[in-house]
Amino acid sequence: MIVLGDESGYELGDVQKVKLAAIEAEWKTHPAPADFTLFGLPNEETQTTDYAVKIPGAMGLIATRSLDKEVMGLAELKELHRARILNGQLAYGLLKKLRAGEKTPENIAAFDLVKNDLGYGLLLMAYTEDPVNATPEQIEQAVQNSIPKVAPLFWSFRIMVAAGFIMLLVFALSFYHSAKRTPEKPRWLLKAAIFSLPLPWIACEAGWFVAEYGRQPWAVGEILPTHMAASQLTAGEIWISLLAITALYTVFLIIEVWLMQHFARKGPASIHTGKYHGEQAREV
Amino acid sequence: MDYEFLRFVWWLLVGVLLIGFAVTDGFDMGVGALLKVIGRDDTERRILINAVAPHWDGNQVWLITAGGALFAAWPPVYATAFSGFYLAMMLTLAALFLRPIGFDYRSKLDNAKWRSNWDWALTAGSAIPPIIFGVAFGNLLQGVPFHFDDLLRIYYTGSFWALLNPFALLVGVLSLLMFINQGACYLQMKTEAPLRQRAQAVSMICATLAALLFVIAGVWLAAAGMGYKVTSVIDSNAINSAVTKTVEHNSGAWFSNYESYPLLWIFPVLGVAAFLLSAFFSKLAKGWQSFVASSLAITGVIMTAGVSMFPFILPSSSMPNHSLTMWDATSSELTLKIMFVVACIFVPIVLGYTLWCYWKMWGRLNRNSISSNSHSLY
Repeated sequence: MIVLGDESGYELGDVQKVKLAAIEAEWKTHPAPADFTLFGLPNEETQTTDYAVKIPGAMGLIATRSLDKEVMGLAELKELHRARILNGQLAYGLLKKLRAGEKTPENIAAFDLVKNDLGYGLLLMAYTEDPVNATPEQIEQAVQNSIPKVAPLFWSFRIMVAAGFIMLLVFALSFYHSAKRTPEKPRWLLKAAIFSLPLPWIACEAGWFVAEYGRQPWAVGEILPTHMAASQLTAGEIWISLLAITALYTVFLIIEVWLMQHFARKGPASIHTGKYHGEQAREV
Repeated sequence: MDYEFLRFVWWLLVGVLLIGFAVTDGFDMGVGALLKVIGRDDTERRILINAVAPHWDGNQVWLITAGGALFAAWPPVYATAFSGFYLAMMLTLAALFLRPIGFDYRSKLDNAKWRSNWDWALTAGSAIPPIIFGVAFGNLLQGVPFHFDDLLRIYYTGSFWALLNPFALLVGVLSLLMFINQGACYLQMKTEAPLRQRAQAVSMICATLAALLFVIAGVWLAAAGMGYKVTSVIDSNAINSAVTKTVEHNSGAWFSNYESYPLLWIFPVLGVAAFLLSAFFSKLAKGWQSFVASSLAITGVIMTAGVSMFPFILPSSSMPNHSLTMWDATSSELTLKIMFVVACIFVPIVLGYTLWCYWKMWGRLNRNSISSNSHSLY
């Protein structure tokens, strides 16, 4: 798992620079190799991380596997996005012209130059119906929202990693005590095993949040913004389905947990197969 | 393999998946729907449940595969139908949720009330999906209101209640009868008297009624003048946009394929004749013949719907030009090609182990087989 995590870190630095920078609260590009922020309080207003505890050079190693390549910070990424949004605005205007039948060689050539930024132009559609004539304020809004908020990503990523390492620790301790071959395991270990049951779910949910929230505002990276990819369902319909599923699964969960404790109390001897300890115990 | 060929293959394969679903999951949903009808006491209901227990979840994968194939082969159809029919889909899902836990939990406690409640859950989980699938097909044949905007975003303008129109409800009932008959035929092979006799009686009634409703639906279709027709020329080998063709609402268009290729009448004729044969074999207590006839009838009915609408998949009633056809709603040639190769390799493997499972689990269940395996069976 942890090897896979390292591989994703490297991949992320390559293809999803924004997500990486936000997870690690890299507000600005720092000289290579970048430091890794172990803990701290990301501050969206000042665009800094308060009380940061850093490991020198570690970020550069994880993301680029080198000591001389830079990890791009959010401020620089935003400027990059600004340029691409302006290009995208041009691309959208040209596309409209081409569609309207103005297929002159100049228009086609101009469109070919900026067509890779069309998706960035579509980001503007969240703020105006007409991206071609977007105001500077609307463009600024699109630029600011072209990266996700840092704190939720920073924390959910750390929760995921912490859950992973606690599981590893419990597993290692359990392995050690099993290898010792003593019949009675320490109570604290059994308790730790029980209480770590939710950890895989917590890690999954936190990791899923990092993956999905971290790629906002995109549904298809750099091509299709989320607000344009969503279906035209009404909020009412979404509420109905959400409430129905939540209600059903809550009922299912109550039944499931009740059955589990019911059968755990009875024990395997209650089915009278003659295979288990204490067969004469309790009746079904 | 050119684009046109691949498109046709996937039209056929989606049909095969739907037929596979209705033939296999059809019988276990049919049995589920009959749980309270022909199972008179707890042991009888356990016989019914355990007759489908080894197979129902495998069968349901046909449905998931059909959904997956729709997503991969016809993405705009998937997007339009799943968003447009959102609440109907959610209702289907909610019903389907009840099946796995119903099967699993029902016999865990020896409490009459508990078991009766789960039996109702299984009945609902098995009867609601076929009705909704039928209603969906009934609406496809009439066309549903949707259109695209400049950026090809889909706007569905209908409502959940509009789906429940008389013609669609008729097809919904036909679909339910079809599934119940499939279940009743299956039970004739898997159970002994008196359940077997009751299954025969159910099949005789349901198969006859299904044949009747199928004919009525056909007559209604002709009388109401349902049908859409492409009036522009579509290059079936090219990358086409769904919004550039012209389509007109044309009464009788759903019959035009039969006029051009009279051989296609084989499908509707098969639908009617095989239902009647199924009822006949059930009367004679010939279980497997009746099951084969019922399966052929299902094939006939689903193919009739597909062939009538060809090349339409999802006609738009509010903006006919934006209707989705198999020539402009498919994914790219490369996608279809990869999926075709994958299907050629894996469908035979899946069929192989599915058949092996039926082979291993064959045989009739009776009261004795339930009481002697009470703890290991559902």
